[in-house]
Amino acid sequence: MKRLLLVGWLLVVGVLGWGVTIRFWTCPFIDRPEIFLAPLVEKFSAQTGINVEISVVSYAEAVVKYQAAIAAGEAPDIMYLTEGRFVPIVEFGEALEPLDKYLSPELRNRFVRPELLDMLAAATGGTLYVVPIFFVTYLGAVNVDILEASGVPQDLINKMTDPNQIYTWDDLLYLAKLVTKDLDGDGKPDQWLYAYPGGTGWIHPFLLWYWSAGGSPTLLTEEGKPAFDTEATRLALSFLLRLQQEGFMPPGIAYLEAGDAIALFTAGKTAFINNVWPSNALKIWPEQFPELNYRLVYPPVGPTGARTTYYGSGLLAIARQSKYKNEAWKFIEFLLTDDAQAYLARSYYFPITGKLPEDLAVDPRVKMYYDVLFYAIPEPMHPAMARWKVIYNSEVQAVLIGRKTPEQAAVDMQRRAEEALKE
Amino acid sequence: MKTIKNTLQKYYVDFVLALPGLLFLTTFFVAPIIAMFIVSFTRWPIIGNPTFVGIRNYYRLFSDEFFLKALKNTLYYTLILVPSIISFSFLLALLLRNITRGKEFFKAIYLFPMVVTLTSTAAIWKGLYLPFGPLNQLLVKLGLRPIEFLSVELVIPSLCLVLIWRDIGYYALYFLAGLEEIPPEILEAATIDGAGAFHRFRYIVLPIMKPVTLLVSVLVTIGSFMIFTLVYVITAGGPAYSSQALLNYIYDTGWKEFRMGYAAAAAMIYFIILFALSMAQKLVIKHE
Repeated sequence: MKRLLLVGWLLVVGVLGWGVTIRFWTCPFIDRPEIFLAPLVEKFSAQTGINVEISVVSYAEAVVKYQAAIAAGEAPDIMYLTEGRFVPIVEFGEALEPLDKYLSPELRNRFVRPELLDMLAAATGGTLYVVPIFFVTYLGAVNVDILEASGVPQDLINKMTDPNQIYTWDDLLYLAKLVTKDLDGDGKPDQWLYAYPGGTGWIHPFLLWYWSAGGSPTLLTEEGKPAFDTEATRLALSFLLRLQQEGFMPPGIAYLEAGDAIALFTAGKTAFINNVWPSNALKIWPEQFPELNYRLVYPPVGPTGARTTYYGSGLLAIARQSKYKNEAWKFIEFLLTDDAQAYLARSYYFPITGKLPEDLAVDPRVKMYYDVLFYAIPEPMHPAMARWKVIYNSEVQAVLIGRKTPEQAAVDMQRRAEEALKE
Repeated sequence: MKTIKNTLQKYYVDFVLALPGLLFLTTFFVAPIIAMFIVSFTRWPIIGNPTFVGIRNYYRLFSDEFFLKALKNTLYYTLILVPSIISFSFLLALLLRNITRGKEFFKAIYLFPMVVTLTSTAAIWKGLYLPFGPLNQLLVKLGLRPIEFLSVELVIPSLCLVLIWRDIGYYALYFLAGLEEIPPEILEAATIDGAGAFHRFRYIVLPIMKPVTLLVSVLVTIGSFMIFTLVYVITAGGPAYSSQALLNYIYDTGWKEFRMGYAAAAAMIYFIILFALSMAQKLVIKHE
């Protein structure tokens, strides 16, 4: 009888997936994501009996590590990806599970921008392989103390912070002239407008200026060619070069990384920054730099009238070779519940489904991040993105060190991007 | 046939003893090199199967400005590192030799940078080299102009400085061991004959130290061609490829751009250069 009961219990456990452990590899979208996600995992395990084992892989190595794991037949059940990273994985021998069949119409309709799901699917031939679990947008920020001490007119500050007004690149130049100063009297400026992270390996710093100058959101022309030898590229590069040549940016920007540029802003060395993601502005900076008096600002309008910013989301995919696809989907569904979304929102990873918790919804700074959502552009989802990123970042560097003119760099970007496509 | 059989019978114990080492070498050194050689004739973006492209990768490499730039940079690293490390570590060894008290303590101090992982070292120096980093703050406090250590002009010498700082203690031990081998009687005899310090150094110490110097030059040259971590952490090859070393180029091409065939071709050329260098230096040492 005991044996029978044991067998019966094991059968029930097997059917329900009780005791199953799924492996979830995530990138560090937050400091120590395994600790951040632990309460959610605990709750999910208590509800379903499915354990979730979290491992962290760096953004830089994510694609390579996933591919290596897939090739070895050891793919994690769930993979964290971003818009710029999932296409190569999809192309890696049909490595990801199509998710269309899992996503119910009800769940789809709960997404903040359901059309983003279509964009994700369109990038991989119409099949949806990834589902976002949160989103972030980028805003700019200004150092209020610097602006006030430099006599920046209130009118300009209002234009930067009011969603119904605009400010332009020319306004930024005007601002640059006011705030760039030699404070210690040694004959050289020690306070600047902006630090472009010229040494970055990131995707977005150049694209923020390129898109603002009217550049193609997908980096492609209508004919499907790379859109680098364009007026947008030349305008963006010329503007950055002008900021540098007129001394509105600190020395060494050709090799500053994105973290260094942020450090210069938080140290009060620069007055403006244009890639402030929510967790930095609303959580980390207030905690780490209580003296920093800053205000969030909307993105500037470029010379062609474009106003854009960057949209990023945390995407989850299920490995096709996973033995626990249904359990993995259950976890993804769990992360899309109102409670889990509210938990993510507390760290300023905004709900991709459902609503913000009440106290966050009334925060005007959070509202600003939602305001830009409707003109924010996702990371281009192109298979050659890994190479294009290296190409355009190195060409921007070549301009900033005076080795090439914006025109030459645009031509070389185009040539190299086309070569990359041919391969 | 009979000869082979006889040889096997005669040396089977030696063969059995050498087998584990041979297997290890074949699996982890020879096989990957053969695999790399085969991949170098293909187009293989990791995704899917490799496609045979003949010698196209090699042909393109020699007109690839970024490969040639990386090769040139690597030679530049070598040109700075070899004479600098040899002279500074020799000098350090001479100083250490003349220390009468606390020699072991100083040896440990100079060896310390070698004990720290290169990644940590690189991260620390990266912070030091920033335009607003501690080094520049110190220069400003001393009334000097700040230096853009990582600018196009200075980036390679700046990275070399880190390696010199890190390696001289280690190579000084080679020179110190060599100096300790010089019989004191020879030096004493030369002194009695009226040779001054410079002449003793020029005509006795330097010739005796020649084999050690050659050995160190071989090691540093090979080490210079193997520069990777420092560049990867501090500059990622920038600004605009001005610090890109050959290994970084190979890594970036293979693992950032997913062009495995092309990266393998570059790696083959790298392998041939390194192999030729080692052989040339081996010949020189043998000749000496």
